[in-house]
Amino acid sequence: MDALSLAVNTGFQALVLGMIYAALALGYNMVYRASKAINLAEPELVVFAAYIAFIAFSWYGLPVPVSFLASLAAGFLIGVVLERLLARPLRGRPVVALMAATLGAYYVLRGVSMVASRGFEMGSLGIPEVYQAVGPLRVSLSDVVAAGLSSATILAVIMLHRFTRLGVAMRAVSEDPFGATAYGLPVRRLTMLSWGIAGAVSAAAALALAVKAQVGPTLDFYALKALAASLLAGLDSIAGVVVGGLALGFIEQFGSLLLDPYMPGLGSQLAFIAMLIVLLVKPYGIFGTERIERV
Amino acid sequence: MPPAPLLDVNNIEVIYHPYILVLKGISIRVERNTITAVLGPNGAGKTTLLKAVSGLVRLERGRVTKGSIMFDGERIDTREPEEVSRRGIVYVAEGRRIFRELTVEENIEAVAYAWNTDDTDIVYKYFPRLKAKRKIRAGYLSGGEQQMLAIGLALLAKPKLLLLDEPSLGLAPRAVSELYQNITQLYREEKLTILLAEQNARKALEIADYGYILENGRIVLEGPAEKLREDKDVKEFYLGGARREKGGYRTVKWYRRKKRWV
Repeated sequence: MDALSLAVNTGFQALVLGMIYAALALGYNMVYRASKAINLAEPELVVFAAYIAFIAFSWYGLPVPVSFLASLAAGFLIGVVLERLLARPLRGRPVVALMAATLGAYYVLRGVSMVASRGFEMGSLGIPEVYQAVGPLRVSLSDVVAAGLSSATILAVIMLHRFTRLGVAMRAVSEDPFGATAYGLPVRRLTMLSWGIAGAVSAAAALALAVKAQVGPTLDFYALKALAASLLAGLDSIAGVVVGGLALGFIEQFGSLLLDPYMPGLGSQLAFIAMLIVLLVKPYGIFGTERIERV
Repeated sequence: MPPAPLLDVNNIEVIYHPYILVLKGISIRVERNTITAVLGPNGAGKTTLLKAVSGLVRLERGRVTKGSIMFDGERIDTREPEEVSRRGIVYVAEGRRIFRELTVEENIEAVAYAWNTDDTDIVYKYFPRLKAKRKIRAGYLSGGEQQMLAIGLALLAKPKLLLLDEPSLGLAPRAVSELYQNITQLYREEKLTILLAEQNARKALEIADYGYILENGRIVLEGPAEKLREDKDVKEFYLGGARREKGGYRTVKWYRRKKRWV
């Protein structure tokens, strides 16, 4: 492979991976805006959602689209349950309490997915291995599915927040739950819905990830890296999530390309190094909302 | 027998956290289609009273420990704030509490979602100034406009009882006058019932029908607004009208009169 096609292909892979990271980061972002806490259960939720699709597809023989839908529904449901069981009782308490509770949920989900998968380690989601060459670029069907799924998810959430009353009401609740209650907004229902959508978004990202990599218990590491992307961008900005995810994809792909010959595995750790540097310089992230203060 | 008032607050106590007693046995009545003013200095408990009525004290770890609050014949002090607002009590908080990150239009959309109404023009009807600014983020509006938006949002709910908490707070005198004209106008045209908490006693008594004066969590005086406007003590402490010679015996008497209230 010559240098040009290497660069083009790495760039394309960075783009695909970046969109997946962005979708994963969006899951954290939505929970953060609803409850001001980081959902530490998300990495395992991702693994769980991927397994659901895998089990539906390869053990029960359901068609691929149906198994994907089952996974999205499971993600939504888990989000709703987490809100009802953890976030709602802990409302008004320090956010650390909720974060610790989600960490507990992480281990519960981990146990469940280990039992449910019967120790099954790896599997694929039934997307055929088809390649198409476009100039120097090699595009596989799984690339297209993964990128399409994650960008469609992000786009759907943006449209919901910008153009529907429901989405605008969700934003109002996330800005000021007290004021929203005073004006009669169904705060509890909308918060629950935010968690549910966050769960479905995580599941969609998990599917994209599983298509690109493989279903397996180590998918949670990707979600952890996406948390870095989310913090990098500022937890409460959707545009920031996309930029953060893409930045992470590029840093990682080109970092691996350049650094791995000297220090194998360093590339995949670059996300955390980048996060540390950004948080030192800008604690609210690059795109974090600055509260409007009229002077 | 006279008809029951729309709101009947009966001898309530409100405690914040485990043991801060904020309201110490308060009773007020709000008749339909009237403006009732609650006056008093900072920290007297006006805001707490309004939050107790709307149930919002619960979100701040407060609770009503004694007495009862009846609204439209139903007991509401035991209910969640979301249920209370469903019944038509809308609380417009002090400090112009709107959704600052959203545009004016989005503020209206969000509240319209809650009440499932398409009649969003009612906000612009009473506050036409907001129409030109509907694409602007609410945080960038002037203080007066923010307060207009805050009250406008409440109108979307078609409230049976509107709770206004210090609408004049932090506004320039001219903005206060304009706002009070707006409030009077929509009170008349929308046939609202308003419970108004104010430090600006002069303004509040101009538009109110009945008034209560609150100090240190107790009601120290009540009466029809025109009586309160003429009351010697109210004039002296709240309206700044009565002249007083400096020093000497008067100061002592002033102190004693103040004591009598508490």
